[in-house]
Amino acid sequence: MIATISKLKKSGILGMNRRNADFILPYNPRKNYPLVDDKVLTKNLAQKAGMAVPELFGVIDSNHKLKGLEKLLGKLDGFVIKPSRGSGGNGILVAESRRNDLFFKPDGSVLDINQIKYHTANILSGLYSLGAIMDKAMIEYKVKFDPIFRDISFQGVPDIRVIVFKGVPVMSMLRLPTKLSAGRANLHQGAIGVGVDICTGTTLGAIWKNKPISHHPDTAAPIKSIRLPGWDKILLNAAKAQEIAGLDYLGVDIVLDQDLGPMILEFNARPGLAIQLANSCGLSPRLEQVQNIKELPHETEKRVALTKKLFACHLNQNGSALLTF
Amino acid sequence: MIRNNRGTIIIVLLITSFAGVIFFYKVHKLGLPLTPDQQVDLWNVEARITFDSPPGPAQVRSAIPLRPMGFQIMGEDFISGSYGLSIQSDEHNRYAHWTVRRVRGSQALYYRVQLRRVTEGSMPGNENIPLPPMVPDYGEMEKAAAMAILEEARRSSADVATFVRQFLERFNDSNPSENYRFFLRQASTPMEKIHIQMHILAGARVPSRVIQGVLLADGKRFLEITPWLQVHNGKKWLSFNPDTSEQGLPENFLIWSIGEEPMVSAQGVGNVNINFSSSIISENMLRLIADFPLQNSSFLLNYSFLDLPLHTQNLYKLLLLIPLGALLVVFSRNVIGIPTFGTFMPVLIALSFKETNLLVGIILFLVIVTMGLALRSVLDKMRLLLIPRLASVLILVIMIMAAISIISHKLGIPSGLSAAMFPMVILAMTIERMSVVWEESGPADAIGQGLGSLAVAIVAFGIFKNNLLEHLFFVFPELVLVVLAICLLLGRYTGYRASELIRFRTI
Repeated sequence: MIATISKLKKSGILGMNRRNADFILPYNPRKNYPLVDDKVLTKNLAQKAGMAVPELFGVIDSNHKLKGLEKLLGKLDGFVIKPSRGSGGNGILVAESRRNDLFFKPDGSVLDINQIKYHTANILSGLYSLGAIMDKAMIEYKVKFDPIFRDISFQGVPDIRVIVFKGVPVMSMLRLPTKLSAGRANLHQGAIGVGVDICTGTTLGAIWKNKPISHHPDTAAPIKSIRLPGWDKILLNAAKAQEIAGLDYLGVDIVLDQDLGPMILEFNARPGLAIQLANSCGLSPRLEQVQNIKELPHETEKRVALTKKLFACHLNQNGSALLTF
Repeated sequence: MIRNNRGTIIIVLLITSFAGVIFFYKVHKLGLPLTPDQQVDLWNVEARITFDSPPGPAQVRSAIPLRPMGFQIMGEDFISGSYGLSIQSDEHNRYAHWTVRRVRGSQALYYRVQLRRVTEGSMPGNENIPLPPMVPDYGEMEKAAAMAILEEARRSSADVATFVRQFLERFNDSNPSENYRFFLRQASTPMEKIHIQMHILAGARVPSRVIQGVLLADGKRFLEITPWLQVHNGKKWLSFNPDTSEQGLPENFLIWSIGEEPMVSAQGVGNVNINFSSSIISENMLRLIADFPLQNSSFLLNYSFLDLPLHTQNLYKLLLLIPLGALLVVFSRNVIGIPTFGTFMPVLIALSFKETNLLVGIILFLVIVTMGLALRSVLDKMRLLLIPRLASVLILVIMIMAAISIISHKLGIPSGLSAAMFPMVILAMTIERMSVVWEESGPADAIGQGLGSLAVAIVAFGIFKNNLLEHLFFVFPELVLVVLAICLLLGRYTGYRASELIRFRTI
């Protein structure tokens, strides 16, 4: 079965072509891309702006520094190694725990230092990176996710993606790792996308492999109607992200740490469109609503308030969102 | 889609109309063929000169066409046997001289010419305007008759053309007046008749001359030499039928020589005769244009691919189709939404399919990529750095290609040899990308993108293999601008991709 063009239009679905031509090209100046494409830069900027980020233990930017990797990891129990300019969750290696010289991935498989070095060398050679020949490898704090996710996440860290348009959060989704996604939170790799009510932070329906689901496929726990803690802070962080990234159409990825609360993970200048499926709702009307406002407030708080005013929704009896525009 | 697109649309319209104007000019004015096998009719005219020669040397001179009005000479040849041949030309005519030192008996010489009918072809513009002739020394009676004739014609005419027509009408009247009858007595042959007409017209100081030619007819032999009267009106030569006063040459009248001189003259031989036959032959139009640019050749033809050396031409025949391949990729990805490895990889694969043929190409592609992936997975275990690994994959691809060529040759399968035609760097990159996608997003994505690339490559192959498209883009390279315009338009296409209708079907 396929949808008709008029049906997609009526649902306000934003297509890839229009996203690129009408939002990314005009609203995201090319010169600001390096800030979001290089996660070390993003992290520094976010930190300067007073936002919480996963701590950076070290950066490896050349092959001869690989020798120092062992020392760097010496005192760490868990860590994440990822390419500074990676895309689509590629090239991320997670070590969850260690015993003596061996590390363990979230799925329990063993990592020795040579495997880690090989992976890091691959990152340096640019294998996972956006059109870059060379890259840096970041070694950072492995987030301990909030207990609320314990039952609906499988071997990985769930993250929250918020689409922010001109500084106004417009749509959000929770991404849950699965066995299929091997702990990664990217939808095309098999993670679950859960629509999140942008006003309240309550989970709506979910999609997995492009199909609607109601329970986590690995843990069988229900996904709907979970209220994410600290939602207002998440929205504030997302709205603020636009200010430091200088990109008006931005995807902000935030993780919830059980001890440290919401932390900025990364920004995305070309956020994907699957968020619409997770929310069963098109992006176009919301983006146009923001577009139609002549003067948007400068204060971050006021823009978050605007989100709640514009996209106020009521939960009906079934728990699914009834949007009022 | 209309928003902010005015600039793009204006540029697109400008480009398209510019290309369109050139295209229509080339089709309608220059007559370039729209299909590769369009034929054009050529007249093949043969002059056969026969004579009897007593023993000894012989010399024959024959007029041959120089710049016949309404025709373009596409080729000519002489069959001269043991005769020496030289060609001379003066302002109006060209002559073939055949000479031989010793010959006897009846002889035959041939001249053959291929002519193309051209519509706008007229007398060359650089011809000098002739001086008005002196009034001839008419005898007393003759003068009175001539002046009366001319005065009468002048009274009922507005310009040179009507003047000559009036004169010729009365000249050819079945019951001519007394003045005409005075002259008509002297006219027994057609040539003499025109001579007299010219003689009278000279009294009005109107420049005139005789042209001799043949009226071509398909499959006709023994065509008659017909003399025709031409009068200059101060701007150009006008032709008149000396027998009917009708103005203008018949459509297929081929001017052979200008002037009263006989077409053939000979020394030392007798019984000289010239015979014409004509027929229509078909020729490939494009080859003709390439070999014989029009006399008043256009800039567009002089600066075209048709002028390049043949092997460069063949290269451009293919290169000019690549924009279409690129357009196909744009369409596949942005309108349909087919995933492919690398943006233009399918185009390059399609180019190699053109060398290997489709089925063999697909099989070779699948074999090379599958083997490459298998070997790549072994490399993966060795944990090589990216660039050395890419280099290794490239080397493996070349070895696979070489092995396929050698083994298939031994097995007597000649098509395996064409494995060498594949772009190995592209294949190596494809294998590398595919194995990364395989690892990152699973085999479904990898195989899906691989098949997507192959599908686009197959369609691109269809384009590259199409003779009509090859012909059109080669002869009308301005069509590339149209492709560019479509690409620009698609660059502002913000509608849904067909794949999104499936992706968002659950909405």
